[in-house]
Amino acid sequence: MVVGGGSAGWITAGVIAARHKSHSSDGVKVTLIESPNIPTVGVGEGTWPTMRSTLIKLGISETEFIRECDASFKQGAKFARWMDGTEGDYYYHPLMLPQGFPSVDLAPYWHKFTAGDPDPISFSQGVCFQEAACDAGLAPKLITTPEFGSVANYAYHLDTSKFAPLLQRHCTQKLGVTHILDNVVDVVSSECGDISHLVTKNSGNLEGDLFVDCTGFASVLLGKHFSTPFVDRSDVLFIDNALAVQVPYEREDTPIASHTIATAQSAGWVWDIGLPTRRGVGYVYSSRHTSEDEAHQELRAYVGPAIDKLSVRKIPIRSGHRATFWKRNCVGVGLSAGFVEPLEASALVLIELSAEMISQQLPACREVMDITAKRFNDTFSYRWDRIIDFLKLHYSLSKRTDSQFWIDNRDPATIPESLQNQVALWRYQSPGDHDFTSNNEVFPAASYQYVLYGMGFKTDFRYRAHMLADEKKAKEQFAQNASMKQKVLKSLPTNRELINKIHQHGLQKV
Amino acid sequence: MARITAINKTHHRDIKIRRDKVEAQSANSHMIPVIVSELLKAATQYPIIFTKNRETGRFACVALCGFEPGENLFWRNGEWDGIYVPLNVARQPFFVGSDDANGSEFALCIDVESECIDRAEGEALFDAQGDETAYLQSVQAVLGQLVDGETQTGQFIDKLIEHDLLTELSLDIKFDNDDKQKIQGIYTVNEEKLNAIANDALAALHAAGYLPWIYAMVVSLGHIYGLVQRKNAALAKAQQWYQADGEQ
Repeated sequence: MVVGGGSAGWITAGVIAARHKSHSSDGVKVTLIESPNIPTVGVGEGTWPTMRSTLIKLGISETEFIRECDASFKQGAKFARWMDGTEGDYYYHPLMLPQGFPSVDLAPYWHKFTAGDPDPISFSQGVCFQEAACDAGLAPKLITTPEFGSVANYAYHLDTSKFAPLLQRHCTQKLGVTHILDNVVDVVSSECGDISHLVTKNSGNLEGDLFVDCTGFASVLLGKHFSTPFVDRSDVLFIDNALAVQVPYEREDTPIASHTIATAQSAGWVWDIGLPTRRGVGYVYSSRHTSEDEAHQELRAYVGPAIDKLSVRKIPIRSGHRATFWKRNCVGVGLSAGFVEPLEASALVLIELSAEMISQQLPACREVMDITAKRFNDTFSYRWDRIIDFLKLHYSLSKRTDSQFWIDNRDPATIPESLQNQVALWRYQSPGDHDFTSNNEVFPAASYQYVLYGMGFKTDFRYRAHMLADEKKAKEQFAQNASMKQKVLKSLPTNRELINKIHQHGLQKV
Repeated sequence: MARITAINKTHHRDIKIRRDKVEAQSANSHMIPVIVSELLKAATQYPIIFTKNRETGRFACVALCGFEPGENLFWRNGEWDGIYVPLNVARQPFFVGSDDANGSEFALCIDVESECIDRAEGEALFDAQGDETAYLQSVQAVLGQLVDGETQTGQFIDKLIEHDLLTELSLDIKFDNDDKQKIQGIYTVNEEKLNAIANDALAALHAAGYLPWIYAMVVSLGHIYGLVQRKNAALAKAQQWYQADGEQ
């Protein structure tokens, strides 16, 4: 029984229904109930490459997804003005692993080869060709590349308000999910404390073995019914508000950026996500460090005077998550479980990871559910901690001194000990898979490398001579990256061209 | 460079077509589009495969004549070395275009820069009275067949896609001179899926008359070996020339 019909509800319902064959008579029965009059929150217009496998799992065609969700391709993120706030201050976090990684770690060689160079090639440019493709506004594939296939690894930017209706149609028509449009008026417990049924306005009592809370910030089951404590993480991540606006393109053929642009401001940062029909732009800021008026002025400076005619929406953000995500026979997915700023597009991926784990480990009966619940809670506590560490890393490495926001972000009291320990180690060794030994990692070691070395962090490899033992091989890898760069710049179409072609001709399945 | 214009009585009254030069126009084409109505004939000699249009990504049905762009192994010693010549080779230098001036949907066009065009020798398009010659009428018939054929071929391909029957074929070929070539971008019917197809889907393919074409395509893949032989023969010949040259 899934409660709530946003992206979280439909992805969870769909992933469970697809694996457990809900369309057949002996499959697991999945019902989704959503209120006809609660609007969904349009957060997280950026995804991870995992969305490709989620769509494959659900059996949704990529052509259909791109056409219906106003989607475009995303090949990474560009972080502007995060280091010192100057004009030319930027770095990329591409979605492709560094060349040869993890069998060859080019980080030590990049340090060595660029040492003393007054105008060194950036880490991301040196080890990955994707930044060049992003700079040129290129797509990650060709019209002849099959659905979900790639030349360069990619994710999507999409209009989430269009994603839920597509998922709904697919889940109900193809995957056998039962859809009920009604209001839940009460949640009733059985003697043992499990949820026994939901009382609805028009559909009577709805019983279920497992209830998935996808009710958004309201957190009706996990938060309200079970009073699961909320762990506030605003001591680490200061962002608590967003001002969001949809910016139309000047012309129909204005290039669509194939990466998210995150530009640091005085009390937070501005996201800029290019969809085929518009840009989604927003300023996430800390109200402890700036006022709404000042934030609006900064957003206006970014967007331009055109913003005066657009509607700017204010969204409060509460950084943190539930202390437990799976309580008795109820598990929370999406905003009901927690939320952090969209810095590394973690919202949708957490939904995908939750849906996957619930569907994969769906308890066979009530007797074993508490064991699965504990595993789920351990896994997701770990994942939230890693996400929070990784987001904090972006702030803690900044050298900006122009506002209290950046200075406060470097205060060791605000940096989790786990992150402090990692960074201490990385002063003498580059991030590697040995740092991330859990099966439940969210960000790979490569992501930490891109952010660390993108932000000017230096590792002292003096005590790691063995990591510099094969210079010949390293040079080959650098050369291969340079040649790939030339190749893709010549062959890939622009993001806009490919999106137009997909709308016109579609992508083939093979 | 090709310059294609609609044929008209006034402008094209005096031109003649050198039929002996027609096939040479395709001497550098490694893939020749084939329509389903000629598929059984073409499949007796050429590997018939699908390839994707570079601009649209859509599938096209073609006769494979070489292993890389520019190479046509059926063009040997200055002539077409094949029993059946595909319609898209034989139709040169004519094309079907849209004639905006007359508002008609299709118009017979000609590449006026084509080497097949001559002033003195060859087949005339119009006679002394300005009427269409039997030759021009036969050309129109072929082009008409191609226009219809493209539609039918498109429907055939759509049906194969609908039943998820297409698969990519990756070829690793080693030629006699030890050159290795990886051929990508070639698609064919997936035999495993064809064998496992549900009865109603099979009945639909049968009713549409698609089964002979499907099996002809599967069998025609064997001609890839013939194509490798042709390539090896061409390489051996080139080698001879090279050696003869070296001994001088």
